This record gives sequence, C-alpha cells and structure tokens, in this order.
Amino acid sequence: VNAGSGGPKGASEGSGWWRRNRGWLLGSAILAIPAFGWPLYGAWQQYNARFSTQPIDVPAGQWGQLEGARWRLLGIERTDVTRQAGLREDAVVLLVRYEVVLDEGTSPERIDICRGRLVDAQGRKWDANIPALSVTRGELPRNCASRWNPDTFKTEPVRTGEPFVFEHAYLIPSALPSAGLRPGIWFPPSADAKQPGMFLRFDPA
Amino acid sequence: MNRIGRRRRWVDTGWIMLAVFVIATLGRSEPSFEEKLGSIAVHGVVGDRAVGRNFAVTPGDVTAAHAYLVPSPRIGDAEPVQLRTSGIWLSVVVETEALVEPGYISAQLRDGDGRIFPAADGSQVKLPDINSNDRLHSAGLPERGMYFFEVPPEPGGLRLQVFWGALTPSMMDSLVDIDLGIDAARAQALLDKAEPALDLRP
Repeated sequence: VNAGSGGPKGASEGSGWWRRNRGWLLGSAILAIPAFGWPLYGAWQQYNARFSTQPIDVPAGQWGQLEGARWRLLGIERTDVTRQAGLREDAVVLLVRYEVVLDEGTSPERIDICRGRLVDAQGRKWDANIPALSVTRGELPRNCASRWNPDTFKTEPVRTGEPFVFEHAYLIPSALPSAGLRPGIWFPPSADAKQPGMFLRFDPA
Repeated sequence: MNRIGRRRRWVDTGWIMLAVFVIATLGRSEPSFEEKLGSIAVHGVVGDRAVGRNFAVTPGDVTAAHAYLVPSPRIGDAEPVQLRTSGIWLSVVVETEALVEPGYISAQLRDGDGRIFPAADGSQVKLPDINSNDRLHSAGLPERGMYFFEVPPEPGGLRLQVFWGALTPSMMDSLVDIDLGIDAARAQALLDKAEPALDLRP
C-alpha cells in the first residue's frame, strides 16, 4: 500500500503506533472530557450566579416563582415628571408595578433586597431606583417586601402570604419606544440563594 | 538494521533541533503581557466623539487654574472653600455617555514621562453636577461635565485617557486615548490664562 512513498517502513510503524496505543488514546479522550468540562461547568455556574443571566420568562398576567415568592407584573406607566422633579428633560420616568406574595417560610428580609432591571430590544440595560430618582418618590413603596409606616416611623416588613404591591422607577431616554422593553427582577449573588443565577423576565404584553 | 537505526536517530535529532528553533523564534515574537492582557487603546481627537466598548466620550476645551473655589461642605456656609495646589489644576470639558449598561466613566491624564494623574473625585472636588468622575451614567443619556486633574506646574505631552469603571483601566477593555496637544507653547498659553482662583460654584 505504501510502496513508492519515502519510507514505507516508517509509515507502517506510524499507523502501528496508533493501533497499539488505541486503548490509551481512548482512555485519555474519555478522561479529558471531565478534566476540561468540570472546571468549565463550574466557571459557567459562577458566572451565572454572579450576573443572574438565566431568565425565567413570565407571560403577561401570569405569576413567576423566584426565591421563595411569586411575582406578577401589574403594569407599566410612562410619566413625564422629570421636569417638575428637576431631572434632565431628555428623559422620562418609567414606573413598573409588581405584586409579590411570599411563600411560607420565606424571610421578608431576603425578598426585600430584590433589584430591578429593564432591558430594551437592543439589550441595553437600566437599573431601577437610581439615586437621582429618589426625588420622584410616589405613594407605592420601592422596596420589594417592606413599607415605610409614617405613623410609627418604622419600616415594616410584609407578612407571609399577604399580597404586596410595589414599584420600580427607571430613568430612560424619552426617545426610547415603550415597545420591546422588558422589566425584570433579580437578586444580588448570595450564599443562600434558592435559584442562583436566575432572574424573572416579564412580558409586558 | 543498525545502520538504519543510526540514520533514524540523526533524522529525529534534526526534527527536534528544528522544533526548538521554531519555538525559540515564535517565543521571541510573542506578544507581551501588556499586548495580550492590557487595555485596548482607542484613539480619539479633541472635539470628536470617540467610542469605546460600552461608552462614548467627546472631549472639549482644557482650562488651567491655580486654585478652585467650590461650595463649602458645611450646610448654611456661604463662604466658598479654596482648593489650592502646589502644581496647577487642569479641567477638561467632556460629554460622556454609557452605551449599554449603567456605570461610571473615569479618566486619567498621562504625561510625556508616563506619569499618571487620576481625575479628582468627590472627596477632592465635590461638585456632583459638574464632576463627571462621580456620576452614575444611564445608558443612552449623555452627560455633560468636566474632569479635574491636579498636575505639576509644567505639564507636557498630556494625554487624556478615559475608561469604564470607577477605579483604574481594566485589562482587556477599551481605553480611549486622546492627545490634548499640549506642547511647550500651548502649556505656556494655558498658564498665562490660568486664573488665580476659578469659581466653580453653581
């Protein structure tokens, strides 16, 4: 078969080597899968937990389950309070209202640290309740599971099983169309996260 | 058999020497640590919008001053505070914009000798509506402001470097690098025009 090529003996020895060490090669290939795959999987999980990259899509009007509570999007309101509030005039305030019900055994302190994130059709992101927006505070609480009681001068946590309505405020460019905006709820990374890396992505419909 | 074996050994030695030569040559032309993992320079021009990975910056005029007058941190104190320096203060007018996500956009000056002067933050120049260094940018909402730098009295070959984040330029992220065009003559002109105490009160 190898007649005419430079070293017929060398060539046959070469293929013989692959054949003789078939077992070792196969074993190494099998071992390589977990050796490379396991650290990659770990890094992937850490990345997800840190940046909350895994969405749980919630259809319009439905409840979504996250971190021991169920959440529902009530509505989105676009307001132009920026002028009265002394904020920049090329922006509008978007108020996103949610309802949350804590499951039995979920601590309100845990739910209270929830964060809001708004993503547009291009993937640009906005954070809820940036410091500049504290001047636009409305009647609804902006914490996820506690409300300020003006009579007792205390922040009172929500009770388990009791529906709680709150809002997230976003400062967005006024040129940004409302269509394609998707509000979400996520939690900062924590050791006691029940669904690390997951976040709720609501369909405003 | 013996002769073939000996020739085979010479051929193998040749291959190994060739491999060592190739490795050594490639190793010499290998990119440095900086080139592989350092910041990725994006060159900009004064007056033009320069776009990095997730932010854009339009640098403007440079002004020099020997001191700044800023509002007093004490409430109800009408007297301004004077920020003095043994060198000079330089301010650069900028328009900065976050393009993708919320965050901070910081700046530093690099002089001809490679010395780095980070922009003054709120602990030095507390002007939340003017100092761009402390501002939380929102995507799509450009912010007008200034970066303030405390530099030695005779600055030369200054470059403005703007980057994403609040600390220092990140590895493998864009660093917008703008030559401010301050040669000896321009530096002298800046110093001649420098006010003894520039009032920055709003």
